[in-house]
Amino acid sequence: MPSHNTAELKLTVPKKMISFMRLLISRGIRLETRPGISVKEFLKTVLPADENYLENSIQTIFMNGHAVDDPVQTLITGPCTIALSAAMPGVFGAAFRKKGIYSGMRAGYLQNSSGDENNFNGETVPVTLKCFNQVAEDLGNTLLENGVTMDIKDFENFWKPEKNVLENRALRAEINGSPADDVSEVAGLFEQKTTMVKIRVVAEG
Amino acid sequence: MDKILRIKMSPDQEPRTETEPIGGYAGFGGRGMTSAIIAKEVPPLCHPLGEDNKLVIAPGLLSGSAAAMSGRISVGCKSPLTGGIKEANSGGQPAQVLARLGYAAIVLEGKPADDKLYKIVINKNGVEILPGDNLKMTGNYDTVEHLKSEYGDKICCISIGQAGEMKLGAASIAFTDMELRPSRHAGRGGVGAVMGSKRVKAIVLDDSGMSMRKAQDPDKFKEANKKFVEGLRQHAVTGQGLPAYGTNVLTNVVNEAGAYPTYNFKTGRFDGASAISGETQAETETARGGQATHGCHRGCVIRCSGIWVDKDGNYVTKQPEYETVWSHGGNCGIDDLDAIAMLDRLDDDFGLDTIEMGATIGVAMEAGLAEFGDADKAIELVKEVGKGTPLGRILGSGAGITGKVFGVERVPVVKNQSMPAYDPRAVQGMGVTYATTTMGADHTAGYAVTANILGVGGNVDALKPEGQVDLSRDLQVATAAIDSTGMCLFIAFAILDQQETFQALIDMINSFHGLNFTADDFSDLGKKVLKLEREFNEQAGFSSKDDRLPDYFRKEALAPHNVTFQVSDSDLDTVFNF
Repeated sequence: MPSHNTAELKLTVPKKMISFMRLLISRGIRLETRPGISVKEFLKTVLPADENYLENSIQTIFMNGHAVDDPVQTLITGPCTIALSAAMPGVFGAAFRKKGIYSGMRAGYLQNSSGDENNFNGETVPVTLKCFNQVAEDLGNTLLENGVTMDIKDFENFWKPEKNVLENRALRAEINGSPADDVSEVAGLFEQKTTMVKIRVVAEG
Repeated sequence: MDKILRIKMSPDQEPRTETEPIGGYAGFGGRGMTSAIIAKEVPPLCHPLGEDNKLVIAPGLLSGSAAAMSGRISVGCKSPLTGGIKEANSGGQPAQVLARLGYAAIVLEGKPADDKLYKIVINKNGVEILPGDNLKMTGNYDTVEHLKSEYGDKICCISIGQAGEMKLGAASIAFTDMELRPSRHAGRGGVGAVMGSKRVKAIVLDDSGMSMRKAQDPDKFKEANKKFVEGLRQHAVTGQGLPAYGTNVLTNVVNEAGAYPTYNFKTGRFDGASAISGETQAETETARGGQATHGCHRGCVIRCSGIWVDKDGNYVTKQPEYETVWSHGGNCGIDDLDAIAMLDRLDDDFGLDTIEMGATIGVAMEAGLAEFGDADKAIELVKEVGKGTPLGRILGSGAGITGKVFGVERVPVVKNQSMPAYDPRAVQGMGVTYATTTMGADHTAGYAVTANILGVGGNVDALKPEGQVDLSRDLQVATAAIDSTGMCLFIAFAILDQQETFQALIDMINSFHGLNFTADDFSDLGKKVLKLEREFNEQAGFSSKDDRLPDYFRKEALAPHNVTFQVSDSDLDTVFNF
């Protein structure tokens, strides 16, 4: 059941539009986990991916903007943002790669935990997860089919500028089970108190 | 490809051409060729726009052959922007065509007395120098259309726009792509101004009747090329990331790292990054009927480019790459891909370096000429350059001049050349390269991540911050080596991870030219080129004081990580200890 300030949004989209919907994943989806879990365990729990994918295809991991070299040793101890990327080009890509031989180029960027656990007393830790580029392409469809939760403001920031594009697409939307008349305006149809939106995407055709 | 074409402009007589054997320049290609000629033949203290400077245009060692990724072309001169030696390179068709015509280099020399413009036509029958005044102050797109109507669509072109004719410090040289559009540029350092100073508006190349260059050992070459292509295709960067999203795949990631220079290098994160990311760009291109994957020249297997079209599906420009999207986008607070594409188109048409112009507009915004985020005003400012107004000429002279004219302290230049899209406080090793490269601030000067294979400079402990100087040295040497083959620098990613792909590259060069090059020879070539360039710059008056970042990078902490540039001056001074 959604909490009182979380709306449910079901989007039915043409199959060829699923790549557009995957852009949502790069804006950040909201998850929760227990404090003290390693980044690797967390990713194994929330991503539809096997060990090999986590090890080899996800080449760069950021936690609160810091590169994570060792996802096994790096612990989630407080609220954080984790971002995932496949292999990136250039010196930058090499420098921020997990345990990359050029990681010395990012002095001051080594990171072992998400924050000061003494300052966080909750039973669960809120985590914002962003999947970029090939990672979003590989895992995004399943995540969207299963449903992702976003900050309503992030959703609005994504949706509203695309009004012109969305008007011409064969989309259907339901908010909390009720059909929405104008899908391009869907970001403006949530109740004032709504802070989060759980989005489920169904591809058809 | 065993001859050099010299085009001699003179105040006393009509322009003339001389063709000579390659001679002592044999074995050089790309940046190796341009820097060798400039270092030997150009007086370091000459005026960059004067008769003693030369403009060298050189294809790579394997250009014009069946070798994949061999279509880069290098342009070298004494830079009017930096005052030092310059090599800028580009994709497009001309490298392949020039090589098939048999030229290892074209050298533009001297200077005519009057203001007449010329065009040069090169084909299997020889070289003609013709009047080009009918092209005066036309943009690159109209210039190429005109040349196409005159010489047909089998040609390719090298040209300058209005900025080159006005001899501005940000002027680029355009190279036509596979669709005969002037969308590929040797952008950096004002090379277009040097071409303009020679009064050469365009070079038309036609290789009709010429055949592909043949390897000395065709079987070995074919086998090596096959392995090389396989290596590129199986690597995650060259086989997946770059083809799918182009170089702009970096926007989201660099922004996440807090290394994305925003609002003229004030902060390391841009709120609008997602809207201009490679992922959004590729999706928009595909939805509108453009192309998210496209090669810039025949023989490219990475295909990191694309075609950007407007909302009605009309061509606007090639897919703006990461540096352009950053410079005109986040650096100026602009999160509109259509506006950025328009700025890219204007830059290409006027013949301007997109990095320099984006950085310049950022400085102009800091000076109050426009608000950060005002895309319409940014477009107006770039149009001023095309019109040649006094303001436009200031802006077209680059960020350094613009900062001086408008009294701006935060001007992100080294050796007067604008920094690219990675804040050196967040990626300190990149800062070392910006500071010390012979080229002025340039990310591609230390781009070829091949150091551990080449072993340049000994074993590097990359996890130690002080290792950044060693890393930058390795990267600069390896980059100079790859640039000197004339291969696309993006092959470096596959070379980093796949020893067999690196070996395939060496085998391609050896089998083509009948050489016995080794990995050590490869790094020696890089060192040799760098030393030539360093010596030129020293004789031109450069010293260690020029190998520094602007002061504010040590004083102003960069959000969100609140870091300053921390590599000491004494460490910077050891980069060229090899």
